[in-house]
Parts: sequence; C-alpha cells; structure tokens
Amino acid sequence: MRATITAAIALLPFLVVGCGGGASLEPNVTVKLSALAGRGSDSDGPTGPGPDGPKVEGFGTFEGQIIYDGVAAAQGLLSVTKDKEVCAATDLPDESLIVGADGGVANVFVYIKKAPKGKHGDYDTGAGKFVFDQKQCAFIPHAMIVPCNKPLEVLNADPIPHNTRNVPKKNTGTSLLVGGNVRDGGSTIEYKKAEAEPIPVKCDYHSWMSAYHLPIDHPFAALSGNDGKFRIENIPSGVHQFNFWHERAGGYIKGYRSIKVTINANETTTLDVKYTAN
Amino acid sequence: MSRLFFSSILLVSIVGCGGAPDAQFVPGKQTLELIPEARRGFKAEDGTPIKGVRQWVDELFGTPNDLVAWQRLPVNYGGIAGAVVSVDAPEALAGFTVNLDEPFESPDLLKFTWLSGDKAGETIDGVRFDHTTMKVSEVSELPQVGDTFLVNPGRLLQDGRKLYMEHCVHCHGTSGDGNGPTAEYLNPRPRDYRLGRFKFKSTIDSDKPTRADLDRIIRHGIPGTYMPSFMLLSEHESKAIVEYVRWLAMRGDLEHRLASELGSDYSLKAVKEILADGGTSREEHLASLKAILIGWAGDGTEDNPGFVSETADELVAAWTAAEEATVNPTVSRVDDTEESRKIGRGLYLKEAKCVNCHGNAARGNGPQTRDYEKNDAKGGEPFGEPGLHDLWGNVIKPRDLTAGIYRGGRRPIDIYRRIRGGITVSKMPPHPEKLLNDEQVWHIVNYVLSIPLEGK
Repeated sequence: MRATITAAIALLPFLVVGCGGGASLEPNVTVKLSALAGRGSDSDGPTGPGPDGPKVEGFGTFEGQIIYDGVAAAQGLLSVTKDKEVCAATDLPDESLIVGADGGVANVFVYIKKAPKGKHGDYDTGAGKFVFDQKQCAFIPHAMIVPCNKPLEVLNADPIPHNTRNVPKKNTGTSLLVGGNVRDGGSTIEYKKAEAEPIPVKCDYHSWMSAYHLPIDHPFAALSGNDGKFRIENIPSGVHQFNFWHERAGGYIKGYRSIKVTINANETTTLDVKYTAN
Repeated sequence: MSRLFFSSILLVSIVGCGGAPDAQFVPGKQTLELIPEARRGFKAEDGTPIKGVRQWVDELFGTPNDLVAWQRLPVNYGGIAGAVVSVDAPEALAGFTVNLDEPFESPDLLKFTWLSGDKAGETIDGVRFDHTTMKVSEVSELPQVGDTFLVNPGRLLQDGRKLYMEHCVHCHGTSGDGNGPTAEYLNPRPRDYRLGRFKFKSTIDSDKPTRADLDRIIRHGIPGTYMPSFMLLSEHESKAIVEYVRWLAMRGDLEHRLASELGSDYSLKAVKEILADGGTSREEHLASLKAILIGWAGDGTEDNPGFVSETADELVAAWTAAEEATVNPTVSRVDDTEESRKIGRGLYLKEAKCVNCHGNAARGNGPQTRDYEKNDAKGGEPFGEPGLHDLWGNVIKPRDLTAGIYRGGRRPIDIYRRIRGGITVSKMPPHPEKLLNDEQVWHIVNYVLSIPLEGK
C-alpha cells in the first residue's frame, strides 16, 4: 500500500506539469508596430491577371451574342405563396432564364474583373440616378451593373413593404426595409468595393423575389439584352480576360471563365458564346 | 482500489505525454479552399518570402501561445503607456526621465517596448518603474525626448487569452470560429466571431458591437441559449475577455477578407475552371497571383499602402466607429397604455410586418417560417428544410414573444434597439426612421412587452 502511494506521489509531477503543447498558461506577447514595412513593389500595383502591355495603342470594341445551346424550356411562372392580392395580381414570370426567339440569352454579365492599365478617361457614370425598383413583388431590373461609390436608390411601387437584402462577398451587406409606395427618396445601397461575381439580392418577405447586382469600379462590363447581344466600347487595346456569368449557368458559363480576348485599336472583336445549360 | 488508482495514474502518466499538438488558430473555410500558393505564398528570386494569406494572418496576429499585439488595431492590449520627457546630457550618467500615464502598484522588474523613435519595436527587460515620473539610468543608448513606449505591453491580451481558454473555448473554439468541442451539441450554435458580425448589440444593422455590448453579453449571458452569465468575473477579467474577443473577431475578419479577395480567381475550383476555359497557362496564372501578393505588401508609402494595410484600415474604421454608434431614441418611451399597445399591435401587423416571421399570435411561427429559403452559399439552391436561416446557414426560429424571454435583454431599450437596429445576421431587418418613427417603435415595444401578460 505504502509503496503504491509513494509511486503515485513520485508520478504526480508528471501529471501536474502535463505535457507541453496545447495552450500554454502564459502566452508570449510580441508587440508589432503599426506600420507594415513594404518591400518596394511595382508602384502601380497589380492590375489583374493578363499580360496587358503598358503601352496602349488605342481603343477597341468587344461585342457578340450569347446563344442558348439546344432548346430552352419555355419561361415558367413563379409560385406566389403570400400577399397574393398584390403579388399575384397578374402572373409573375420567372426571370432567371430569358431566352429570346432566336436563342439569345438575356441578362448575362460580360465583364473584366480588374480594370486594365490605360483606362479610357475617367469612369463617367453620368449624372443620372441609379434606381432599383420593386413592383408586384418582383425586382426591376432583374440584373444590374452597379458602379461603386454611387448611391443606388431602392424604391417600392407596391402597397406592401419589402425587405430588400443583398448578399455581397466583399462589401458589407445591407438589409433595407422599404415601406409601401416609396416612389421617391428611397433608402440607398452604396457599394464601396467591386465584387468578383454578381451578388444575389432578395426580399426576405417574398422568397421568390430575386435579382443580381454586379458592383464594379470600371466601365468594362455589359449585360446581354433580350436578344442575347452585348457590346462594350472603348476598351484599351491588348489582351484582356473576360468573364461570362449567368445565374442559371451555375455562375460562369461553361467554357467562358476568364477567357483571353484580344482587342485591337479601332477594331471590333466579335465573339459568339455558346450557353450550355448547367 | 489502490491498485486501480495507481494503474490509472500510471496510464495517464505514460499515455498523457504523447505530445499534444500546440494550440493553433485553424484557418477559415475560404482560406482552405485556396490553392496552396495563395495560402502559403511564394519565395522571391532573392529568397525573401512573398506572403500568402496564412503568413499575413500569422505575422499580424501570431498563434495562441505567441500572441502578436499589432498596434494598428483598436484593441486595448494592456500595458501602461509612457513617454520620454527629458534626456540627460551625454556627459552625465547616461539616463533619461519618463512620464507614465498611470502608476504601477507593484514595483516589479518590468519589460517595456519602444513604440516610436530609433529603437521602435525593441523591448527592454528588467526595468523598475515605481513612480509615474522617474529616471531610467544605465542604458547603453539614449532615446529622444518624446519617444513613446509601453510598459508590460500585452498584459490584458495575455489575461484575455488565459480566461478565454478557461471559459469560452469549449463552445466558441480557439480561433473564435464557434466550433469548439461542445458546439455541435448546441442549438443555437455558439457565435462564430470571425466575420465580425454579432447579434445583440446597440448599433445598427451590420455595424460592429461596442465594448459595452460585448461586456453586457458576457455578464448577463443570453437567456434562452447556452450562453451563461459570467457575472462572477471581475471587471478586469471581463474587460480582458472583451478585448480578446474583439481581437479574435478582427483576426478572423482580416483572414476572411484576404481569402475572399483571392477566392474568385485562386480557389482550387476557380483555377481548374480558368485553366480549362481561357487559354491561360498555369505559369501565367501563378505569375499574376504572385504579382497580386507582392502588391499586397505595398511599398510602405501613403500612396501605395498595399491591400493588407488598406483592409486593416477598414477594420480599424469599422470597430472605432462602432464605439460612437450606439442607437438611442430621441424621444423617451411612450406611456405604456392600452391605447399605445393597440397602436403597437397595428404596426406589428401592417407597417412593420413583424407578423411575417413572429406570427399573428406572436408565437414565432409566421408564414416566413414555412418558406423554403435559397442558400446563397450554394448558388441559390433552396435549403433542404423550410424556415429562416442565419448568416452561417443554421435554421433559426423567430422569437416566440409570448414566452417573455428576450435574448438581447429585456429592458425596453433593448427591445427598441432590436427593432431599430435589427439583427441582420439572422434576418431581423433594421427598421429605419423612414418606416417607423421613434414613437411608433415605442408603441411596438409596449405591445411586445405586453404579449406575455395577455391571457392565453
């Protein structure tokens, strides 16, 4: 018995001291000064992927059409589950995929992620107001390119409130409760940073409501129209990486993520994009 | 009995020291989804490292056992600040005189770190500070008048780390990811601090919480959840935990922002797609990543601080602004009358649309709880189950207002702030002035607080 206890006591230090590792009882603290020492990089910083030469010879145009591969199902209707007297006054079309008579796909975001060197003048967004409306429990427009640091006014034509909420990745999300019949002076959303991909916008009250915003800090972006056509002008000549994004393609359209497109001065580069259903 | 006792001790002694791994901050999901070069960076041709996401976070925050107190952040790391007020003439016995912001109670041998001047960043050990104004002698190099320093820097952060590991880590996890060992048994899940988003606070929408908000949650707990009240902690202890939690939140947020910046082009999935689609070679793609990571460091000038520095500044601005951003009503609470409650009920049903989630009978079962929401993390596919989901994808129930249990506090001002500021991480929207004026919010508060008293 005594031997046992003695042995136990002899082993006790091991238990008490424990076994290095884990969280130490007294962590060390090192003070790091506020300023980060830079390492003298290229002072312009990176301008995004792509070997765009420093010398811009001129500006060109990029245009084309997004064509649905195969036969798209007819545009369906959204199922309205509540506030039917307002939201289901007439049928609500499902705008997630709009394919025109000739197979053109609307609302495809065509864009460069980071502005190339040799920007063509300032990014002039004009004096016009940017407005995002809600009518009969649908967002207008369904897809939108939004310039950064510009207020986007959120309106509501319905007599009932909507809770407009965006789900950005780099910006701070906003949740805006917009009361009924706000036709002017609505609350605003302002994106501070460009996003790499369009971000969803939704209404928390009406789960079928859906839209996409692409906040961007340069003018080299376009949305395809109802005929599936897009056109971007005044692009600095050089090789750029363009993205084609659509919500129903599962993000980037298959085969068209960061593809290299050559733009020549005073010329138009044409590209027809085959939209493969996801 | 004794044999059993002995052998169990023996077993623990032998097995116990297999070498537990050092405590560490696990990287976030976005970081792990990146290609290794984005996480770990590159080596430049001259051998200097070009830091990736993980090296940046480690350099600025350290590890649980080797904390880094980065002075840029608005965190009170502890320690007493001081400055040099005079320096002896070189021919006299080398020494200088300092002023401290506060006196030390115990005249121990202390260490201090220079914050400015030629020796900024250097730490000197074993100085005895026992007065607010005193002379430090026998130094090899003299500082300049005006040089600042910290005595015992990081003491509060150290205390916070120790207390956090004692009281918080089980649920909230070492890195504050809300994924400690007990987390999976809890509903609601413990808060993941790493997005810097908190629910019960006095600021609006997605603004950061104030120190007082976090202190209140630690002291009072969150009724109706597993977050207990830590009322028995001393003021110093609670303060230390608040600072440590803020620091963890900033750490996680910075990591998340750095990883998100690279995520769209340099995640494993993105690289695979880009290489397949665009005619870009792997070498070209890695070269542009390298250029981005070099750019992150900036060149130390104001014109080009680099992405990491800019991102840190955003965090600093957000957390600093929050301290002054408490939402306060401009009119005092409307008298809690039958009439006021009735108006509140009307607003609850119509203008404010509380009924959507909280339900007609305020049982937390409004029509919204039966909808199938879309999962933004999964490209907008509907969730497998109906109901509201929070920012982290967990199903959450709107509060049953008949129970009289309010997670963010039961004072009328707490309810006011929930309505005005919202709980946006869990879909409760903020209700702006444009929609409800202060009196209207108070009417709703009066109604909400009367619900548990109504006959059932």
